[in-house]
Amino acid sequence: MSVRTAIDRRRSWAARFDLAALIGGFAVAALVVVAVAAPWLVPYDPYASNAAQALQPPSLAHWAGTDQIGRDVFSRLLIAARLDLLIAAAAVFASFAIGTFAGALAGYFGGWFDRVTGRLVDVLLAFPLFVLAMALAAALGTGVASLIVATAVVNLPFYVRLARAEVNARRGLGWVEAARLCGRGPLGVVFGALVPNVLPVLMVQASTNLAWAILNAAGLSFVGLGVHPPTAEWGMMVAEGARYLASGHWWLVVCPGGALAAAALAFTLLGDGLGDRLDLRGRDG
Amino acid sequence: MRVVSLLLARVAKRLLAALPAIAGVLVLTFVLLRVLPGDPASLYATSPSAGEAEIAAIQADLGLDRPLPEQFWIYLRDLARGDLGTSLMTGRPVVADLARRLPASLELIAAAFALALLVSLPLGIAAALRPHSLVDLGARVLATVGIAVPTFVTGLVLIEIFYVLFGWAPDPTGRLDIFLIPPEQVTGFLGLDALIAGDHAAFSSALAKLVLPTVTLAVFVMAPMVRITRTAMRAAMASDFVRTAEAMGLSRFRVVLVYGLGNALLPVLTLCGTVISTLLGASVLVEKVFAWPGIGSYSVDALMAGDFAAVQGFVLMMAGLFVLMNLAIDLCYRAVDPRVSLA
Amino acid sequence: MVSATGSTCGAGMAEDVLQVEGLSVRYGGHGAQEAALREVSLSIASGEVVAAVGESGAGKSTLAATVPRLLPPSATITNGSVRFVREELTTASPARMRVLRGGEIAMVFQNPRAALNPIRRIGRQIADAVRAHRSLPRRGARAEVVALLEAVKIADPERVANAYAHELSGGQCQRALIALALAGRPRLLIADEPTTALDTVTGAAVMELLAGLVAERDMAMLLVTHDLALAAKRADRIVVMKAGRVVETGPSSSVLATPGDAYTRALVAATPRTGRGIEAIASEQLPPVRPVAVEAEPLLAVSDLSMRFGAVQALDRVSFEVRRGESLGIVGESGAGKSTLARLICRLDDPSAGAIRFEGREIGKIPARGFHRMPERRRIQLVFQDPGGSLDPRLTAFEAIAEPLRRMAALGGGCLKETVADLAERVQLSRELLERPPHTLSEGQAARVGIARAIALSPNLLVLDEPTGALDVSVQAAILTLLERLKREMGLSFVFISHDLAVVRMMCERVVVLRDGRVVEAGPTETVFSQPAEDYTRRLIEALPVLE
Repeated sequence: MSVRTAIDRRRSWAARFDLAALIGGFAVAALVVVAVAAPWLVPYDPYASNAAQALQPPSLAHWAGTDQIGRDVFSRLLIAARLDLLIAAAAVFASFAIGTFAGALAGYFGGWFDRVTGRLVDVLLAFPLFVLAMALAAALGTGVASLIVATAVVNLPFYVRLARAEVNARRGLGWVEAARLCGRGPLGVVFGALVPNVLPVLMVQASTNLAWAILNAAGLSFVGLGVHPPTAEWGMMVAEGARYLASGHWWLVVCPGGALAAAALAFTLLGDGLGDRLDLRGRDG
Repeated sequence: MRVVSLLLARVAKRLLAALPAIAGVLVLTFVLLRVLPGDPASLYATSPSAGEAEIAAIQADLGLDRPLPEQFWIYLRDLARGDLGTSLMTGRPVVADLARRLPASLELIAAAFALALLVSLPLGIAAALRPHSLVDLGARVLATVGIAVPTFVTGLVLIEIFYVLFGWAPDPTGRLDIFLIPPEQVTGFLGLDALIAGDHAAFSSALAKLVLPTVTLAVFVMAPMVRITRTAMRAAMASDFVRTAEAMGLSRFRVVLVYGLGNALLPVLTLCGTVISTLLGASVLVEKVFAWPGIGSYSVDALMAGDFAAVQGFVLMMAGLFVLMNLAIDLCYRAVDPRVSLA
Repeated sequence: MVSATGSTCGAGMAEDVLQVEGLSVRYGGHGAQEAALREVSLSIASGEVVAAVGESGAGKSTLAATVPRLLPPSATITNGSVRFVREELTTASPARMRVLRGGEIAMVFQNPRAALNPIRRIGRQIADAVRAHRSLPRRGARAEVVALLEAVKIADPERVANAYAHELSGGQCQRALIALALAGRPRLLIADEPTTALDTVTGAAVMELLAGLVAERDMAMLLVTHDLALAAKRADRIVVMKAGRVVETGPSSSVLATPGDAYTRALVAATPRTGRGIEAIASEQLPPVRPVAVEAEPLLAVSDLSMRFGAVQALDRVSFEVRRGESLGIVGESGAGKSTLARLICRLDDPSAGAIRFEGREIGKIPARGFHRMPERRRIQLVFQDPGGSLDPRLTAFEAIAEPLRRMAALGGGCLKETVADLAERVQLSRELLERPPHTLSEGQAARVGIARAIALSPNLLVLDEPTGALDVSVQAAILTLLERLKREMGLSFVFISHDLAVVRMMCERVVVLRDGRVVEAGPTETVFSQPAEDYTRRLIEALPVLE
C-alpha cells in the first residue's frame, strides 16, 4: 500500500502545481480588469495631496496607508497598474512581433539575412541587459515611450534567437517539406506552416517575459530613468518610499513592491503553466 | 605546454570572433550617448541662467561642434589611449573613478555569484533526484517566486526586517562602518585587505556589511539557476548513458556525480552567461539600495547629474566586463565538453 | 573451454541461468494503470540464445529492463518471480542488485551512441565498469580495457580507449558498449535491439560478434528484437510476445516453420521472404498487374545527377530511368545518398549538377524555391519515412489531405469534403479518424494519411522514402499492399527508397544500388539479387537475415 500512497501524494503535489498555474491565469485576468477599470475603482483621487493625512499607516480608510504628501497609496497602486501593464505589454508585443518575424525568416532562409540579424543580436547581447536598458532610456530621455522602447529593444534578441532556433529546428521536418509538396512557396511555408507551430513556444516566452518587462521598467524607474514624479508608477513609488523606510514607514515600500512582485508572479505562473501544458502535448505527440 | 598554447589560441580566436560585437558596442554606445535627443551640453548647463553662449562654449569644449565622423574618430582615439574623459561630478578622469570603484562592484558580484551557486546547485540536484518531494516543491517555489520579486524590493524588505525591525544587520550604507579606517588597499576586496592588514574590526565590519547586498543580489539569480539545474539533472538522470551506468552496476555515488552531474553541468554553464548579465545589471539596483560605492551607484549618480562621460565609461566598462566573463565561460565549457574542441 | 555452440544446447540439458515465472509489470501513470507484462514465463540455459520477438507494445523491452531491475520508477512488478541461478531478483536488495548488474547480468542497448557518456573517454567508462566488479589497480584496469576492446574486435584499441563516443562510428560505439557489458564477466547478456540503429552490414557483424562471444564465454543471451528473421537466424529458442503476454515459445526452427499460435502465423505471413512477391504478404486481393509502358520516352530520366554539401559529395553522377507503371528500387546503407536523391527528384533541393527530365521536360534547372508554381509539382509527390512526423501537428487528418487540393486544385466546400472522403476510403482510413489531430493517430493510420495526401492530385510519380521503415511488420505488410494496389489502380510509377532489400525485392521491377553517392550496380531486381555483379551488393544481400 505504500506504493499507492506515494502515487497519491505525488498526484496531489502535481495537482497543486497545476492549481498554481490556474491561479496565475486568474491573477493575470484580475490584473487586467483592475488596470482597465482603475479610474472607476479608486477610492480616492490618486493625485490629491493632503498634508494633514501624510504618512498614515494602513487602516480601514486607507488600505495601503498614505504617502509623504498624504496621497492614498492604494489608489495610486490601482492607477499605476495601468501604466505598468501598458509599458510591459507594449514592450513585449513590440519585441514579440518584430523578433518573431525576423527570427523566423533568419531561421528558415539562413544566408545573409541570418548573418546580419545574428550580428545585430550579438551586439545587443554584448551588454548586460539592464545596463543596455539604462543607456537606451537615458539616451531617449525620461518618459513612458522611452521606457517601452528601452524594454522592447533589450528583449528583442531573445525573440529573434528563439524564433530562429525553433524554426531552424523544424525546417527539415517531414511536415514542413510536405507543406512545400502541397504547393506552398517559401514564405507560405514560413508564415503559413512554421510560425503557427512555433507560436505556442513564443507565447510561453512572452508570458514569462511580461514578468521580466514589468520588473525591468520598474527598475529603470527606480534609478530615476522612468516617468516623471507626479505620475503613479510602482517602481518609482518604491524609490520614493525607500527614503522613509528607515523611519518605519514600511508600507511605502512593501505595498508597491508587493504589487510588482504579485504582477510578476502572476505572469510567471501563467507562463510556467502554459509551458508545462506544451511539454505534455509534445510528449504525447 | 600544448594545452597552454591551445588555450591561448582559443582566447585569441574568441576575442577575434567577438570583435564585430565589440565594434558594435563601441558604435552603439557612441550613438546612444551623443546623437540621440538628450544633448549632453544642455544637460551640463543645468543652471537656469545658462545662455546659448555658455552652451556653445561647453559644446566646443567637449568637441561636440565638430562633424560626427570626426567626433567618432576622437572618441576611438581617446578610448585607445584609455581616456574616457573627465567626470563632471568628481572632476577626475572617469577611468580613475571607475578603477577606484570597480573592486567594490566585483566583490559584491563575485560574492553573490558564489552564494547563488552554493545554494542553487545542491537544491537543484536534490530536487531532480527526488521529484515531487518537498525539496522539489521548495525548489520550484524558489524558482518561481525568486524571479518575481524585484531586486530593489528584496533589498529594501531585507533592510526593513534585519536592520529596522531586529537591528541584526549593520547600517545598510557603504562597505565599512563609517567610524572605521579602511585598510590599505591591496586587492581592492575590503575583507581580504583587512585580513592582510590584520585588522579584525575592519574585517568583521566589511563582512557584515556584505551580507545583505549579497543575499539580495543572489536571490534574484538563484531562481533561473535552480530551475536549469533541476531540469538538466533530471534530463541527465533519464538519459541512456545513465541507464548504461546503472546497468554496469556502478555505485550510486559515481552514477549521480560523474555520469549525471557531469553532463548536467553543461547547460548550467551555458546559463551562467545570462546569470552574469543579470548580476551585472541588477548590481546597479542593489548598489543604489545599499549605497554601495561601486560603479553601479556611480552610474546612477552620473545619470542624475547628466555626466555623460561617466555614463559612457560605465556602459563601456560593463560591456567589457561581460565580454571577458563570457570568454571565461566559453573556455570552461570547452574544457568540460569534448564535443566542442579546444582548437 | 566448454565447446557449447549454443544450438545443440536444449533448455533442459544445461542449468537454467535465468528463470522468469508468471511475471507481471504495470506502469502506474496518471490515474489509469497499464499492464506492460502479464504472466510472462521463460527460461534461458547457459550457452543458450533466447529471442523475445514481437511488435511494438509487446512488452519486450519492459521484459529486458525488468530482469536487472532497471525499470523506471513509475513501473512496479506486481506479480511473479525472476530467478538468476536460483537467486530471486524481484526482492533482492539494491546493494545486491548493484553487484549482479554488470557482474552477472549485463546489457547491450539499442542506440549505442546515446548509451555512452558523451563527455567521458571510452576507456575510462570501461575501466569504471571493470573496477565496479573487480579490484584492480589503475594500470591493471588499463590493460583489461585494452583486452576487452580487443575481445570485441576493435582494430585500434588504444586509440578507441582514448576517444569519446562522438568520435566513433555507430558500429564502433556498439562494440565499445559490448566491451562495457563484458567488463564484469557476466553470465547473462541481455541485448535489447542491438542492431536496429545500425546499418545492415555493420549490424550483421555486431550480431556475429555477439553470437561468437556468447558461445566462447559460455554466456546465456536474451535477445530482444522485432525482427523475426534475425531471431530465426541467431536464437536457439524463440518467445513470441504480444501485448505483454507470451503467445508462443519453442525452438526457433519449429516456431517459425509451423507456428502454433494465430498471432505468430500472422507475423510470419507478414514478413517478406525470399522468392515471394507482394501477393504473399498481401492483406487483400490485389487488382491485376499493369504492364510497364514501353514508349520511347521514360517518365523520369535522371542523368549525371550530383550533389555537394561543402566538402561532402553526397551524390556523384547518378543516372537512371523510370518508366510509366514501373517501380524502381533504390537501396543502400545510410549515407549512400538515398534521401538526398529523393529530395532532388521531388525538387525540394537544387542539384549541384546533372539533369532531371520528367515527362520529357527538363525540370532540374527550375529553382526548388519556385517549383511550387510549376505544373509538375502536382505530378511528382513524396511519401515520407516517418509517417507521424510528416503531418503538421496543428492540422487534422482531413486538413492534411485537403491541403494540396485547396492549394493546387482550388477545391473548396462540399466538393473538397467529398474528394477527401473518397481519398480516405481509397487508403482505407475510416471517416471518423479524419477529424483527429496527428498525435492521436497510430503510425499505420498516419502513414495512410500521408499516402492519401500524396495521391490527392493523382500524381504520375510517387517517391517513397523508406515508407515502411518506422512500421511494425504487420502494418508494413498492409501499407505495402495498399501502395501496390494504388500503383496498379492508378498506373503510378514508384521510386522506392529503402535499406530493406527484402521489401525492395518484393515491390520493384528494377533496382539501383547506391554506395557513397555512386551507383554501384543497377538492373532487373531478380538478376541483381540472385546474381549480384558487385561484391558490395553481395555483402548487402548476405548481411540481411531473411526468412527462408
